[in-house]
Amino acid sequence: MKRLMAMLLALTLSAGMFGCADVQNGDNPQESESSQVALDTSTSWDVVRPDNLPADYPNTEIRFIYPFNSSGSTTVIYFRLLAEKIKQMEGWKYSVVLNQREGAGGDIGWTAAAEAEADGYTITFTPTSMLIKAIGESRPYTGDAFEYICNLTSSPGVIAVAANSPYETLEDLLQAAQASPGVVSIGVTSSTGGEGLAVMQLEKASGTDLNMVPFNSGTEIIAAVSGGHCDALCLNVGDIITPVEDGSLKVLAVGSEERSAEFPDAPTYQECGYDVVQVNSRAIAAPAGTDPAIVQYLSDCFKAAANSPDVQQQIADIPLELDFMSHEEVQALFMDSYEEYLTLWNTSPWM
Amino acid sequence: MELLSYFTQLLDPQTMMWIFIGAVVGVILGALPGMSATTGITIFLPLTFSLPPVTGLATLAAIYVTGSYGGNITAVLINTPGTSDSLFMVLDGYPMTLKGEGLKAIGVTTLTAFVGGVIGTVALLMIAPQLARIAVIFGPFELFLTVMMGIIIIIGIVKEEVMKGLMSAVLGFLCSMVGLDGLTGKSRFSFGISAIHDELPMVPLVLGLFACAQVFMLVAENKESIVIGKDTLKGSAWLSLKEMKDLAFETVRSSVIGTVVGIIPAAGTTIAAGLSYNLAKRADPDPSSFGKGNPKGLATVSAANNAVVGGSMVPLLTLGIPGNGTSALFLSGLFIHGLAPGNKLFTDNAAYAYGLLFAFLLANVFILIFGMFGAKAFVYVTKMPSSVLIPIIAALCVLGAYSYRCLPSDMVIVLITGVVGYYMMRTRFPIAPFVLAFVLGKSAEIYLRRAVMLMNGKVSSVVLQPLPLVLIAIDIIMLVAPFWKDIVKAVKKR
Repeated sequence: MKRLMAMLLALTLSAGMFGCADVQNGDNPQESESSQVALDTSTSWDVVRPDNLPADYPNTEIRFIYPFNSSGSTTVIYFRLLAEKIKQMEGWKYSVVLNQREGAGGDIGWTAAAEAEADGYTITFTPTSMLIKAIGESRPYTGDAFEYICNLTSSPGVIAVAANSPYETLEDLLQAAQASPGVVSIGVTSSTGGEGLAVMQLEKASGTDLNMVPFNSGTEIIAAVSGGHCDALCLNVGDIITPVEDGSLKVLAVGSEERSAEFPDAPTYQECGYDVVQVNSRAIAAPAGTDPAIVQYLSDCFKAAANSPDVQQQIADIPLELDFMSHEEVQALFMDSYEEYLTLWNTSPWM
Repeated sequence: MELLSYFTQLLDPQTMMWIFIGAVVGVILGALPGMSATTGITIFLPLTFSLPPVTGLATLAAIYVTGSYGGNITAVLINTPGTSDSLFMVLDGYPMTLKGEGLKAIGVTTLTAFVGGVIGTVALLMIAPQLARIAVIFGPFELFLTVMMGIIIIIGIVKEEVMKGLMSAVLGFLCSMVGLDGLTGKSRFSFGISAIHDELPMVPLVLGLFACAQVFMLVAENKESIVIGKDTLKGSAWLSLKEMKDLAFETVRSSVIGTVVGIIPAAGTTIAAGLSYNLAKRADPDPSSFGKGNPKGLATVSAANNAVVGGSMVPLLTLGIPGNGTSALFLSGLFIHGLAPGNKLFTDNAAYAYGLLFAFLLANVFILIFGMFGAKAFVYVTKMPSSVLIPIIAALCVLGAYSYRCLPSDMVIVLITGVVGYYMMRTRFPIAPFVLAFVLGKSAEIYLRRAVMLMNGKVSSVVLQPLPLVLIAIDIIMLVAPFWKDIVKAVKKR
């Protein structure tokens, strides 16, 4: 009996430790071993290690700080697949581990990442909405706090209503808002993030007053709109592909500068006559000051992985809005966006 | 038969092995205070990368089902519910254990959990697309009214100590307001303490109030083991035919309630268990026996809890709307294997969708096997010397609290709330109302505020609808029913 108890105790304790370690890491030795079944023999892998890259890089695990709950995020799934591929092809001894630091709308994770040592072993998830938050709440994770490695996905904003809604165009919706100010409701996930900002800009451009209602998650908004409890929604295109396919929502307009591939029939906000652009680009970045050789090397690795046929096959059916940009491109994009938001903040603060 | 072929694909030895592993992991993690099916799925999600889709999803399904059952065991035997989900489990389960009927309690909770799980899954299997509409007809206002039902149940469980029970509930509401305001995203009542900047964390709080307080209680009572003087290991976990007949009606009714509540997004296990418990208590000829070790109380709660599992998958698979945190993890599981929820899942990818559903059924069979044949081993814990048991629970409390968010400060919270819980137990302040108010207060507040925002300029078109009116009526009936006899008496006197 004593032996049984000792075993039970050991088992339970180790299960607990295992549980915690993995909530943080999410990566498993078994996983990497068994996923090597499909060794990529194609020749598309052409990463060259820069000359001034530390010879032993990476000589330990690379920590990927994700500042939200990662469940359900397709971009994180994509990131994992890419990181796994890179480890396999580059023959790294160490993995990229997911370090989930959720809380305060991303604040906790981003602050930790911005203040982390710039040694090339900490990277984080940086969507453009982070910049909006940083400016609005004067937080340390500003545009120049990071070196942007690459962009993974970009989602144009979208405004949609229930399939049986009387509104057929963005104009209809905004006219209704003009007729009865503050009554037409529009669901957003955060009134101070990218969506809230877009709605406010639209209100300003059209001189109307919508009733902006924050929800906890995109799925909650979709349920409320398709059930007729909320008049419209402002989310990202990627959030609503399935409900539109299933016929519970219809798209009024998209926030990109050009029409989106997913909804080619929907006009852009600009085509509707409002000079508003809403695109959330999801990039990964290292703290400012990280060795440029490392940033360039990682960017090349992710580019090669994104182009690998294996990964492309794995993600064929996942609703992702792929928009790969390598280091130079994404760096320029984020610095430009940051300048733009700053100008906007100085002329008309949104909080 | 196509359906049959969807089932037989699970019988492949590798798949069966993974379902078995998933079931074992689920029971163990579910049983550990502070761990849950959510922990298990988080661990296993990356592992399923490399498995074929059906095997991977079946493994996750097994963890979900058995994890939700595993919590029953420790709640019943040592009075340590790990999450608010097994809150109602201790009300009758632990008194049964103290009476020396631990073995029977495990039997009851296993059999009824099996029935609940099967009913929930069959509903999912047969009428998922039709049921899915329920998920969207509940808007914020309807959800608020549903959560109110849960809050009203507090009256039902305060028992004799009415004043103390209500004070405990009010304290729970107060604590639920600490942290980020769900609508504005600003932190309130956190006094600049970073540990509670986001919220008073639910898992460490529940662990502290129950499990950690139970540790202090066991130390203070200075008993050799939880149950003394009775041979708890005698007999069998199997119920007699008569006992099963007695529980049959309650079990089925609670399973139906659990399924329906599971479909309503964000309503969840706590409300399902509370509603079924309350209904069973009110309908019973001897309501005062509830809370003192009535097997019926335990049966309703376990059946409802496990039925929620199946119900919560309905809106997830058909609409992509997760009913609770655990089923939200399934979204990742589906995406990893290139499956998107929606109608297409049941047509184009029917083999995967139905394979997953059958895996839920299989996992319930594993519950039955583990529960009935493992009962004696589980119940041994009540005979375990306190000198061994106490340090184990204490260690698990701290570990469980830490693993919730991996924040060291949560280990301090579990100790503080443990002391609070201990004094609440000593002064006979019921803890359940506190936890219920804490969990439901949060959702009630945010749903109500959101509903009021949405009502802006059109109150009547939101409130004067059939569903809200029915829900309001149910709320009022539930509120008045306990006092109905008193009201009638008072009126007659005049």
